[in-house]
Amino acid sequence: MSAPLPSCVTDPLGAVASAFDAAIGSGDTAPDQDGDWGIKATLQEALDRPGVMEQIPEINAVGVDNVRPGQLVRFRCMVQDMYNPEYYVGAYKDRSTGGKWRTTKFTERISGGNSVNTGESQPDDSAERVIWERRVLYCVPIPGESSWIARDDEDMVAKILAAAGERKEGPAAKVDEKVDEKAASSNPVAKHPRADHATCPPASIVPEAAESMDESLNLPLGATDVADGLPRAAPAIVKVYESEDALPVKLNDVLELVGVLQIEPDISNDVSNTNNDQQQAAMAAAAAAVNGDPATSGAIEAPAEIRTALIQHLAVPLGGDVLAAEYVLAAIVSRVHTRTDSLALGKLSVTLMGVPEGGDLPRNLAAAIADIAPCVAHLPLSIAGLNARSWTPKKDYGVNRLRSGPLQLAPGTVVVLDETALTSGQLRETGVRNVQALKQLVQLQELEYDFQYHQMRVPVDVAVVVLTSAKQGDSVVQGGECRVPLRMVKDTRVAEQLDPVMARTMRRFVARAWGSDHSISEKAGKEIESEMVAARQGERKATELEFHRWLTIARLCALSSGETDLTVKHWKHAMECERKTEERLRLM
Amino acid sequence: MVGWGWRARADAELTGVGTGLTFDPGAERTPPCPTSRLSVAAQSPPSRPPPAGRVSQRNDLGTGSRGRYSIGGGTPLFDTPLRAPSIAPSIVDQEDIARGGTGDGGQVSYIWGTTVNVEDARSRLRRFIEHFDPEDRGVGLYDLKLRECFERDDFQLDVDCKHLHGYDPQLYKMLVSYPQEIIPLMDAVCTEYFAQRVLPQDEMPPDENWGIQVRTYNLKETRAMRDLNPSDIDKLVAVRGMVTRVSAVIPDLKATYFQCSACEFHPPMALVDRGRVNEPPLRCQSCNAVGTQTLVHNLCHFANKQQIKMQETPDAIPEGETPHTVSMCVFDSLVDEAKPGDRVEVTGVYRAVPIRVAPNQRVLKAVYKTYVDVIHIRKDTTSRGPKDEIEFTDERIAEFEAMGKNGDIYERLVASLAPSIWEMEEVKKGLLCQLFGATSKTFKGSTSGNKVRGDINVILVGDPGVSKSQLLTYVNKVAPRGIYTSGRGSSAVGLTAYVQRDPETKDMVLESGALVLSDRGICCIDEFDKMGEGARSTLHEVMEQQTVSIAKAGIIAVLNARTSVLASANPVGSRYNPAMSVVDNIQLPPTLLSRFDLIYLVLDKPNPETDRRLARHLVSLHFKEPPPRAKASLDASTLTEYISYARSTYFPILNNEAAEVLVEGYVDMRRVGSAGGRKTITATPRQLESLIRISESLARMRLSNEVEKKDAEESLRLMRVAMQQAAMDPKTGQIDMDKILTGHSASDRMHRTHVADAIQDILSEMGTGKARLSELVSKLKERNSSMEMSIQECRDAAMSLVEQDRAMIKGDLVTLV
Repeated sequence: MSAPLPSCVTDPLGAVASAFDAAIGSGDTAPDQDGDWGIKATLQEALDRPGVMEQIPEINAVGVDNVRPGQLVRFRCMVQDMYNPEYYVGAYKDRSTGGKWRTTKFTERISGGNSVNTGESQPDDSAERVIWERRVLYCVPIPGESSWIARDDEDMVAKILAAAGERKEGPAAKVDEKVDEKAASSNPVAKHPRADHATCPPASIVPEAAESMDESLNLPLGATDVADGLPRAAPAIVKVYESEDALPVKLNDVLELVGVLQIEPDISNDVSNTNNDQQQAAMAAAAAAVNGDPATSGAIEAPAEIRTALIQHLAVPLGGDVLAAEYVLAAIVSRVHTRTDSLALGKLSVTLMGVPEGGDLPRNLAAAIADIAPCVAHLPLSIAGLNARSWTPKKDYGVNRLRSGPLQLAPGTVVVLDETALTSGQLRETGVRNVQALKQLVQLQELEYDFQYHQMRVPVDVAVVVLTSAKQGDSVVQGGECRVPLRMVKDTRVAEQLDPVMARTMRRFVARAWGSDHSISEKAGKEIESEMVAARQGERKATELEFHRWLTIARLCALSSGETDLTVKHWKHAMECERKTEERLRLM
Repeated sequence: MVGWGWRARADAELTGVGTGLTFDPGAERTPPCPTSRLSVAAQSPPSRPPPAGRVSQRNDLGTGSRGRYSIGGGTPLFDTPLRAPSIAPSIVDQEDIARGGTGDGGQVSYIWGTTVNVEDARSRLRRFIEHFDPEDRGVGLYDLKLRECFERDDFQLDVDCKHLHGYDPQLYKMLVSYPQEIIPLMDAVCTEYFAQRVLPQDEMPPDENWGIQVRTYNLKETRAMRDLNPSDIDKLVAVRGMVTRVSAVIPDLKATYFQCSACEFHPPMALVDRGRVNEPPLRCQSCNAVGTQTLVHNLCHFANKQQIKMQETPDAIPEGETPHTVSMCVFDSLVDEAKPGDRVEVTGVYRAVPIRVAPNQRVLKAVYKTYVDVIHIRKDTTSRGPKDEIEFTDERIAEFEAMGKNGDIYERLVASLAPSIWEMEEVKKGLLCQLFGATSKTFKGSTSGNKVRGDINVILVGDPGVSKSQLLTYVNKVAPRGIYTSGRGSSAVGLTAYVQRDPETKDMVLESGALVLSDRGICCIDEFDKMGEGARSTLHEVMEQQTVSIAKAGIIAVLNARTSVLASANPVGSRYNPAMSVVDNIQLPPTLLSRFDLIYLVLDKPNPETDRRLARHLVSLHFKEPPPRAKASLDASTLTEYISYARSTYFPILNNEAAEVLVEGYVDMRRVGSAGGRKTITATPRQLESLIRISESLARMRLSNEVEKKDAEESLRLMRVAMQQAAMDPKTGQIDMDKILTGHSASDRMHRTHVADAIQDILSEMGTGKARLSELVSKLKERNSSMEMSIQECRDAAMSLVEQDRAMIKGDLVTLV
């Protein structure tokens, strides 16, 4: 297809070994410092060549079973848990090769490679081994990732088309990765996707069943159903060799890693293990996969048409309600841009009221959103599901792991919260706590992780679309900004398959809008100010919260029109939407 | 001098051991390094100088054990020059022995792999024990402590490392770098000293296993768990954290007793070396039977051992990361010292051992398991939360003092509290009073020892959407201890205390509710009006007596709940109804209402000027860089520290002047109240107490121990403003919505006084002393073009004349008095 791959891509461990040899020479002395030996630069340079990145298999897309251990792989994932740092024998004197120093960096075993270790090569004197430290992360495939991203990966041609020259090169870093193979292949529940979910591409979870499903895997949304022949997603243990300063990683960060896969049976559980060099996209890597850095990609043609197409697409499952679709679109492109002491500015959560009970609307809507947004989590609320388990992550000291919950999501995920399935019943303690967590999520974009002896507040950035059948009052989960009564003119339908070229444009458009910065002109600012002052004088006094909402919607109108500068036009448009909503609310 | 040196003894016995049988009593325990040579080898970093000699006891801590055992009579440990260990000859490199590792013949002994001279270290230690005397009593401090040990019949000697550092920094350095060698050495020195100096001549050592155990604590530097790195392995470290898991006590086999099942002959007891049992020869030495040796468990020696997991304290975790954990092994008397949830500071040896691939294989993984062998545990019992007890450095104190004595501290504090919440300065002032609190007093004269609370309770009643909840959240965040609950989700027992059957022990246990948990803190209750009547009534006791009494299921208890309550509520019908009186709007029982020191009516009143500023603030918040903090304001953590400092250091008292002001103010309030009948909130003696509290907290804010007149005046003003009393018609109890002055900035008020003065001038010039508002507007414009204004604004200005009794307004006619 293209030029032969560089050797550091085809034989990463060999490249590491030769770099190590070159760095320490053949001397007898121990390397006293952990180093990089130039591997990072070599790999970075190789990955920068066009076409190379695309030929490295992505384990989510290809499936861990189809990759040879020791091979360089890509892994798009979210950091679910961070383990204690690990001390390992970084380099040792190999007696079998006549006292030559060898490194174990990027591999798990002393003898290196995958040959079974024998006692002879065991270095047994402290003078003959040095201990280094590495960081260990538990990474899961991005929860609720839309299937088109993985499919894009599979489809090399499409991939190259989409990504050519657009990828943002993050700082490369070394990652060693383990894949929990047992979890990946032997979970019986997961092998029989429930029939009602099989048709549903976005991540969907039935929490009462989730307990058994993802207990060992720690997937936030449980074992997701896999659409049309994609391999099952597998979590992995990632070992990072880069120092904390060079590669700061936080909980729930989305990473795109490049590393060496190694599958290794362990005593307790089957673990596959990899050595990785990595590349990181600081924002949603998923967005980067189609889009690259929004700032550098060229202008999008005919933004108005794409916006119309997006709204039409979203209106199909909403029974043709364009206004509601517009709000949903605004929610999709919303992002927290500023946090103050008690406010998360920029987020928008939309509550659609009067959704028919028991219909297909929630599922259709989630599917339609998944067509254009990178990550969608469809969470049906039910009494049993709420009572079944904690939705927020909780530390389990028994196994010393952070048990995931469905609300541990990557930044930029759209949550479709389906209240229509909710029946009357009694919430137990867990349930009450889950509802409170949802409220906190919607209101403050914060989640409280339960470490039993203390709570830790973790900022999140997810847009929430609540669907409720209630016609009046508030939804169960309070705190959302917009309440929009739904006006369906026809039945909900599954949005039709998008034309591939159009789909790609739309996804790019959405990713770009999500990631864009924004500004406002002096003039528009003044005008908006006076409008707000006027709004205070009227019959209904607007409150501060309403002002926040208006400004957010106006900003999102601008962004979803492909513009970054807020003008009076957008403000007017936002106010028009708000006026229509208010009218609907009055009539209900 | 009977055998307190099992280690020395062990040397002889362990010579030529057979193959190992792994004995691993603890289920949780990982195989403690089956190949002994490997772990011994791993202990010393390769950079150390080549071994010259070796002290035999370096395995002591190495076995993960602090237990000291002796079997039979042994030779005293250090009486003869050190013998090279014959423990496992394979450890000692050939050259090592060749170089004279046996140490015989008066050679200088070094600790293996170091430049530490054993004899030198011994004499330094001896000197320290004998002569360290910080208080000049003529007797060594540790001599006294050892005598205490004798009295108590307890052989643990706690050694403060700061003392050691002060006396002999070199020795301290040795201790930190080579704890596994120095600590046994300390044991030996102390034991020797004890036997020679402390133990009376005629008294025998208590039993043959005795020996002083030294526990070192209070290292110069405490490490963050995160900062431990491979270079700390085998060093003495001190880490602080929270215990999360404690294993059951594990009997750790120390010495084995074998017996021949045929002839009952038993070979001498053998020590267990790092989990490896040294089996006796296969053939019985007495009867020559093969394979008859059996282990007799109840004659073996066991030591207590426990595994503990410790986690970083919440304040040490960087944002967005999970807490790190460290495993620890504790032994003997330290077992069961710490319980889950305890905050502890642990001093111990940081260790790393390789993990075996499988329990029955010798192959090791390249990965190490790290843990701390605990030498000393110090429990942090003084504080329940990390913020409670902040130790202030001298610079910090000087900084706070300078801040407090500066005249603008009140304004700075107001600007620092919830800076993202717009305006509401008056409410913020009230909340500051609450955060700083007043002093609680006990009246000595009365028989009952009456207590008066020092905590200030505040309630915010107001329209929806005026950021009440945000204020509550913020206060919860800055308060040294805060609990946030929502009235809708709280039941009476959840707030106070409840009795529950413990699922494990089946006993009835008392569980604390939110109010008890926020003892000495602030309990924020949102949606107070949505709370059940029963739940609310339980607050009566808490808010005045500051206790929670419970009598349930045979448990009768009174718990302290010295809590300030910050509540927020909506008026009846969600929005404030100006047609009704304040009391009718709030609709809370007067018994409860009177317990709140400050009742804030937060009303949403459109005002073009403030609205415009609000709009500008919001637009810039959303579309530009977040506005930089006002220069003078403090960030949240500094604010918290300042509050804790003020609360812990200053206890203001009223001076006479201030007392008079308060008395007068109170009398006035009573008068207003009685005139209004039931429609207004009548002042009760509680209000007087409230005034005192508020003025005290105001004095505390500026770090003063004296409540001055200005504090008293401010407290009266605060209380009046809180209730919007300035705008209230005392007859009807209604608030004149046009009269609410809050939200006007100082410059506004200045402008208005200017205009008012101008109006007065104009009126006196008129001769009649009367003028219509429209006339005034045009006249004002003539006089000064900057005074162009609407009739409404002119009326406002004239109103201020009316308030000062300088004019009267009737319709639109203004008359000079």
